[in-house]
Amino acid sequence: MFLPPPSPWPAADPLRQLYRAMAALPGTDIELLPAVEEEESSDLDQPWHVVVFNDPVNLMSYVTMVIRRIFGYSREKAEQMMLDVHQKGQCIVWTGGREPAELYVKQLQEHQLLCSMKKAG
Amino acid sequence: MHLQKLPDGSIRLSRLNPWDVQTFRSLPALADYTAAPEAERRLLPTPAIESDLTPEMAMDWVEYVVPELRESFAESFTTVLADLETLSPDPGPAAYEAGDGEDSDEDEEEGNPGSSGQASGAQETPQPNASQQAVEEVPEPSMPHFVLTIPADHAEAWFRAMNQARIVLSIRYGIDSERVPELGRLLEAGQLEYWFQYELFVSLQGWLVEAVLNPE
Repeated sequence: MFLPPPSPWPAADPLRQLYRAMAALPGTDIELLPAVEEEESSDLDQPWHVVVFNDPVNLMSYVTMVIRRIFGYSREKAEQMMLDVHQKGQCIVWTGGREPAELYVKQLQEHQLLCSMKKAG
Repeated sequence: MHLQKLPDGSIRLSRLNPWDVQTFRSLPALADYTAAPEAERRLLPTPAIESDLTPEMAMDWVEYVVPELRESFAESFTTVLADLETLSPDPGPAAYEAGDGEDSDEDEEEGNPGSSGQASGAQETPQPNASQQAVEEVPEPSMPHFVLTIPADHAEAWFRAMNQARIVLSIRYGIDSERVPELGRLLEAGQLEYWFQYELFVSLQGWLVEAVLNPE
């Protein structure tokens, strides 16, 4: 009897350890397939920064409003981020998975803020 | 031009002169990024910085996201142009005083005294505040004026339309608010009007954010 491990199934999986113990019992015909190696984490798993850049057009009050609206930050936090954008040229406004980061970038671009994603770390 | 936030949240633009009206009507043309590749790249950039952008990400973005962004941008102008269809001759501030007497009380409770009922007074001694601001005085008594009421939920479309226009004007003609414009260059190139239009949008957008979109 073959027990195909679900993929990905790391070698340390507790269920696999149980199967391994069962396979060792006399009179069983359990054969374990080689464990599937964990795939290298993809871009989707890596953290990404969402960065807002300074631009000469968007009003400071508008940038604050958009950051608050999209990320739900407090006024104080959003204003500090806006000031960082204005004074330092850019600010990381969010960090997390790629898919939500893409969604945030889309929302920011919809509001015509100059923004982009970049890999964290 | 006089700006008023009415008690129901709608916005009244009154004392609009023909130039104001023409400027608003030309918003789609001013904001047209299709003839300016740099403006198009500014409004529809790639999702990630170049070093982290994979071809797959870029292709997916262009295929799925960019069309939605284009549509969203276009919707703003559809809203603005539809609102402009409701323009009517401005009967003058006396008409607003008669019709909006209760409105000004409500605004006073919100900390914005005299937004509607005192509009005519503001024309004589402009005192800009969060709900009412004299952006421009046009003393020509013979000049026709117009009035426009914008529904509250259209305010953001107006803001975005003007924002897009300023982005395109900034890129195409080197106009922005952070530096003194080279008026001589603009005049010589026949582009001075763009600077006036840009500044009109800055004033109106600033008021919209403070008084309407984010009034806390």
